[in-house]
Amino acid sequence: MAVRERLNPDLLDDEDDDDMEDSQEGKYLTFLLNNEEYGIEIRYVTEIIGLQNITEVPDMPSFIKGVINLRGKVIPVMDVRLRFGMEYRVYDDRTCIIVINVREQPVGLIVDRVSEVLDIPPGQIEPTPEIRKDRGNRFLQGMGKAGEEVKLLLDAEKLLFHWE
Amino acid sequence: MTGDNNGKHTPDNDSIAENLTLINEDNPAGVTENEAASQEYRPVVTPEMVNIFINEAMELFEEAETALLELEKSPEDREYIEQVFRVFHSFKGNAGFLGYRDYEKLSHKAESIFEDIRKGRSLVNEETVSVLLSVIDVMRDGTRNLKPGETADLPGKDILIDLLDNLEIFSQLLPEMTEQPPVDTPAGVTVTCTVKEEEDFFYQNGQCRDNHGEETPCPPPLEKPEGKERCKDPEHDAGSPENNKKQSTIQRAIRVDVEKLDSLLDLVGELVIAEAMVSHNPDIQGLQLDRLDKSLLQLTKITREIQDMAMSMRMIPLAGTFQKMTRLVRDLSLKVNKRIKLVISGEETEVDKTIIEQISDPLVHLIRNAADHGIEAPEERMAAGKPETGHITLEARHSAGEVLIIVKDDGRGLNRQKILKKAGKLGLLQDEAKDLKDEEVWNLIFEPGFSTADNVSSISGRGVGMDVVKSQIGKLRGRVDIRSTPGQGTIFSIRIPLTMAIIEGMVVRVGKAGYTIPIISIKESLQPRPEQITVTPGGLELITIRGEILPVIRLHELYKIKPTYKNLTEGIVIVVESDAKKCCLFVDELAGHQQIVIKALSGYFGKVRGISGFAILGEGEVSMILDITSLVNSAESLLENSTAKHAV
Repeated sequence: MAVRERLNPDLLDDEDDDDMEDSQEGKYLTFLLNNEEYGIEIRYVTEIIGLQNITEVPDMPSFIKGVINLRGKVIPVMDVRLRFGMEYRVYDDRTCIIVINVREQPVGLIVDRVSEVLDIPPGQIEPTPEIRKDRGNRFLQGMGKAGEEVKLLLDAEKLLFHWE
Repeated sequence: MTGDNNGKHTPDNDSIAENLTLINEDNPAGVTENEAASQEYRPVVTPEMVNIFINEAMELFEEAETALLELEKSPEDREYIEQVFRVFHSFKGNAGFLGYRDYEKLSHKAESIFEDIRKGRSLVNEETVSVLLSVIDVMRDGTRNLKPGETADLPGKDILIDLLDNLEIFSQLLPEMTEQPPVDTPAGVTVTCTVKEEEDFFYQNGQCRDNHGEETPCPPPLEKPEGKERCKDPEHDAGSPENNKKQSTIQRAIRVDVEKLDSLLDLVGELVIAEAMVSHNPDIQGLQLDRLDKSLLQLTKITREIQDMAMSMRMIPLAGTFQKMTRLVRDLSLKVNKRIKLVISGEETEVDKTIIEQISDPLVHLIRNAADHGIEAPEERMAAGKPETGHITLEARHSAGEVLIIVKDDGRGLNRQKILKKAGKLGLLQDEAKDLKDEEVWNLIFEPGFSTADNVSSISGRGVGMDVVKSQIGKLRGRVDIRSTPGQGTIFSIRIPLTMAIIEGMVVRVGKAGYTIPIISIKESLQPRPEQITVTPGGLELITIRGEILPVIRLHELYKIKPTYKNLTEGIVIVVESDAKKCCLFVDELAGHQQIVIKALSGYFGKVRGISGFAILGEGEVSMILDITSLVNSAESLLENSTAKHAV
């Protein structure tokens, strides 16, 4: 059984120090989308913030909701539901923005809610079943087993940069 | 270390030297005195030391260059003579300690020439300046490419040393020849003269000389500190009252990483927004809180001051850039055999660092053109009743949030006929050439591939340049205007917004969205009357303002948002201009203007139609900055399409 740690998302801010690099191996931040739990490698995550005023940017695909002001930096935000082709859900007070940094490019991910940080060793990760390559599956890295539950692990690079 | 870096202004620049001595003491590496004496003196050179050496050297060279150019104008000026001497002396010391023998040798030669000049045994003339300038050029190029752990060979140093030796001979002969300008002496006279001179020099320069005299038998490391110590002998200190006086007027500065500065600016931008959020917090609105209000007022004031200060930290005077032009004009005038004087004013004008970095190339192009094509040959000038010496004026000043840089020559001016002929050949002319205004004709020279010079010279006239000038200035969000009068000269006026980071913007509302329009692009705003509006069969809306018919772009249609008003007469129409082309933007309302900090478009988006960047407004809201140039151009193509359709 994997070790579980409960972590207050607010504390995550301190998680991204460089010297933490080693201990970030195998750690995933999990979040909920449509009652399904997803995970993203913690090394990409810089912080978690509440929903902010989003300024729409023209000519963008529908899942790019616009930009937010992150302490003086203007960063794009993506609605992960829409990216997966799920139906839009009205944002509420549990809606969070996970700020990830991939290839020096900070992007905010809008998710239903953030749940926890999990240790999923590589041995516990199964490849994605090749049954159906539907819209969401393209961004999966594998299926992580945590106890009885299965987390869908996202490939952050593909999520951000994979355009069809 | 940074504090010591001010070595530029101290007569004995031994920050590196001190550093080195320390390292050597700490790390004798078991080298006995005997060994040291037999080996070349090899200090432990860290990459950091090399970097400091390079940085200091660049400053020193710049200082020397400036002083040399001044000396050319006033050869007797003690202050500049001392300055050049000091620079070479400092550089020699630094190079010597790092074991860069070639540099040490060369700068020693240069130093000794100025030693003679200082002692009044020799005079500064054009040749001295030329030779020393090329010495500086060679050393500068070499220094720039220095890498830690590599030996520093200076190719071509022998030729320079020969040149310098020749100069030394002049100075040796000079006492007998008194005031006569030196003539080219054949290099054959050398040996005896030089030796005598060397001895002489030995005598004159006293102890400091032995620092270098030990060059062949290398000094044991332990004596080095003393040697350096002795360098601060009374002779050098004698110059110091003057130096001290000078130093007091020189700004003390420290080097700061630009990235740090930029993140400071970001933080200050945040601070300003946070401050506004506190001061206008809904929780305290309408409450009578005198003491809090007072404190908030104080907070606001300090925040503004911090903002101004942070902004000013990116501002640098143009002096350095202009200085390079002095050198350029000097070299050019020798090359093209014309007498040209560069008159500089307003070099203390401060502009954003980005501008400094990018304005140099356009200026070089303009000045080259002025020297090569603008200014006539002396005979031609005389014949036209003008003074023999041509003048190029380089001027800078602030004007209404912009910096204005003027490059002016009193040469022959632009030739309308030639430009039109060339433009015709290139197929640039669509309208009847006679109808073109002068301004429009001059602007043709900014077209790619344009060059009217009859003879393509090595200096200019390759037909690249002017279009580059325009695009580079365009990158700085600036523009160039040309005025020219035949026989009297040409004036290029460059206008660039003072800072790249901040612009004055007008925030406009369309539905819920806020867009920012740079104030400099706005001509006027109005609520159109029904009779001003015309709709073409193609559906294009036009507004007539004082006889001018302008196309309308509805921002809500462009960006597919729901506006408050759909009727042109209900909302506001803003007339914007770019490159002398205008169009109208239809918005719901004006939401006030403010200073905005520009944030570049996220690389994730690529290019967004009609948007040049983002701005963070007072309330922390992100607003898009409209790219007026592209909007105006798209309006123009709309207009062309619709008239084309209409014609069919």
